[in-house]
Amino acid sequence: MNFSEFRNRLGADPGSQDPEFLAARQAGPEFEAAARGAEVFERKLEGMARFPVDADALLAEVLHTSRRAAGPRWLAMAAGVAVVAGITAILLFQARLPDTLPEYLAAHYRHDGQMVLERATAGAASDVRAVLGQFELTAAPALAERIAYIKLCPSLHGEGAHMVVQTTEGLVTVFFLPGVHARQGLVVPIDGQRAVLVDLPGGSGVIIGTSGQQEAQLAVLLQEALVPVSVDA
Amino acid sequence: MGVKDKPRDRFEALANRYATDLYRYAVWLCGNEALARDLVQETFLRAWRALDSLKDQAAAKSWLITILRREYARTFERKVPPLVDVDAIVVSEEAELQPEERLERELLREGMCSLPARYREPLMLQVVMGYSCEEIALELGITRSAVMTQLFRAREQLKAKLQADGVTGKLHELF
Repeated sequence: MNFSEFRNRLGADPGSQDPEFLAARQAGPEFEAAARGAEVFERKLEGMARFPVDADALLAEVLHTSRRAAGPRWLAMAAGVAVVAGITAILLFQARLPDTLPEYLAAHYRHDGQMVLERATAGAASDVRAVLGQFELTAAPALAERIAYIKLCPSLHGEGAHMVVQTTEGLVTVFFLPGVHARQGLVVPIDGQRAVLVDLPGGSGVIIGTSGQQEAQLAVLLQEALVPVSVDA
Repeated sequence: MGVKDKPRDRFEALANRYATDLYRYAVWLCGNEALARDLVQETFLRAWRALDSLKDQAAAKSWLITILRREYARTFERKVPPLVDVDAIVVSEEAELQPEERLERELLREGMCSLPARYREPLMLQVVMGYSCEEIALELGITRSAVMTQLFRAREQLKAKLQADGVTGKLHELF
């Protein structure tokens, strides 16, 4: 193995245990120096790529979600069928590249609406201020104390917020879609549920999973309590 | 059936062993903390539901990676935002680093985010998941030779990034 081949191997597979590669390291001072340099670089690369993770929190979420999914065998099979149907719907959705609001809402809610509700039920930690701050918004206490869970999510124009709000009727899903300005009160049916659009600063809110008076009250609460940071400061 | 053969125990052992690395890999794959967490959740949910299909425990890692990559392709490929919040995920670790090391790590991270996916993905399979070149080739459906080329170019681009920004330091022997 000449030096050029050795350097190529170092760049592609520095941890190779190939005897010929290992032997080449002893072939001369330039081989040894290149190998030492590669070791330094690999330590830096690994230190960057393998960043610290809150493994306990991650594992707790994974195990909780799977426990919720566990159940009688027939139920698991039925769930599997539902998942396949959902994936098919999303694939069809993506294959046609639709960017209409109703199709996006349906695909998004089918994708993780239930899972996010489960996270809220399980009391998973989330940071209301940090997530809303991404959109230069803040929640007044009347709303903030009722947000059971919130996360960033894919939206029509980059990222949005996906939250679960506690109401007297139970947990309700709310999306915040920045840059989307839909008609106030527009109703989009999603699998037998209503998604209702609300005008909000910088975008639209979408309330999913409730009806009637509670829906109207939540719309008012969102409009009153979700405000630009500059107004709150 | 022994305790370790119970599906729940098998699943929890898998999650214990691979969740953290899968999350790191997902972060580098999609560049977004929220999407990465969703990907890992979905991956393990699907793994739990299909656990019976995993006959060989030795194949568990590649089985999980394949599920995760498919889930990413299916769900987020067209909607994924650009690599924007990786810094927010990893900067907290760096308080203990020396300024020079911090700068190097920051540049490496920038370099990683700017790598084309065809270079970044095999590199992360190797560095984060511990894949061999043969395993990467199998997972990505390309030849071993192509994997070697992509890995070499990925490292060259990262080194060039450090060099271009004048942070050669102890890495001078590389260039």
